[in-house]
Amino acid sequence: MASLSHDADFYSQNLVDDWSGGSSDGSFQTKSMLLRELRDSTKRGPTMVCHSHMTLRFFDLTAVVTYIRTTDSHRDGNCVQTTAIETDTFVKTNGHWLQIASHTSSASRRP
Amino acid sequence: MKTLTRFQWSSTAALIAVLAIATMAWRHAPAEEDRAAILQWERDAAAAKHAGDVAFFEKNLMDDWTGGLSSGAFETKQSLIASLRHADAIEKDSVSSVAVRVYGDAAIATYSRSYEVVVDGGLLPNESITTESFVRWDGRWIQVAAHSSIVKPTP
Repeated sequence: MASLSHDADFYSQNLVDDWSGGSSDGSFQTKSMLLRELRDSTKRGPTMVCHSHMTLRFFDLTAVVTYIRTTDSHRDGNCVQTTAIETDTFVKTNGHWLQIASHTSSASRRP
Repeated sequence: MKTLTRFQWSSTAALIAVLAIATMAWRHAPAEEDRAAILQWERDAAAAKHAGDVAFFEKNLMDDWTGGLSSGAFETKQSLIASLRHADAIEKDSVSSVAVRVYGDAAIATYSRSYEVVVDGGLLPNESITTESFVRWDGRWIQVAAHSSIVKPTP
């Protein structure tokens, strides 16, 4: 929901400050880069995000979530659907789950 | 109650400051050791991969380990070990920009990798980035997940 509504405050609160995000294009993103992107009103966000095949593994105060993410968005006037796989890692700090890293890689793209 | 002299106050304040700094240093030391342990893990994994030593991965990956591939598929520990037994020849494999962050009993390692795969007798250059997740389990670091994506060439 937060990615659909470009809710930068959600990510500001729920990612550790030294969070890292590995992207499909082979670059790493920092938390500040992600927040800047979310707050950029000139960039249009996805119109639909669907998570499937989600698995959750706990290792005491660490959790790893894997899933397939399907996203619909508008690009250059066209509707584009992308599918990617994602691995998110969390730690429980002061009773609160914070994401410490995320990595995504593209599975397919359907124009 | 006895009143402390200015000298005694100064000495007490200095002692508290020294204890605070020592405590901070003591707390900081394990994180440095953990970072070193993860870096050693990465060196051992690279050597094991090069030598085809699947026993290293059997021992140092969690049984429910997941690997996110740049092709957009997930692999399991079993499929990784099977692929290592029949891996394509990799030439000029090098890792750079290694960064390790420790969060108590969890750690994240990120790095870039350049390598050349032998395809049809020729060398195919590749660059990728990887995020690896570790947990401290029974006193040692075990990898629970890894995920890579290919660096797309700039147009």
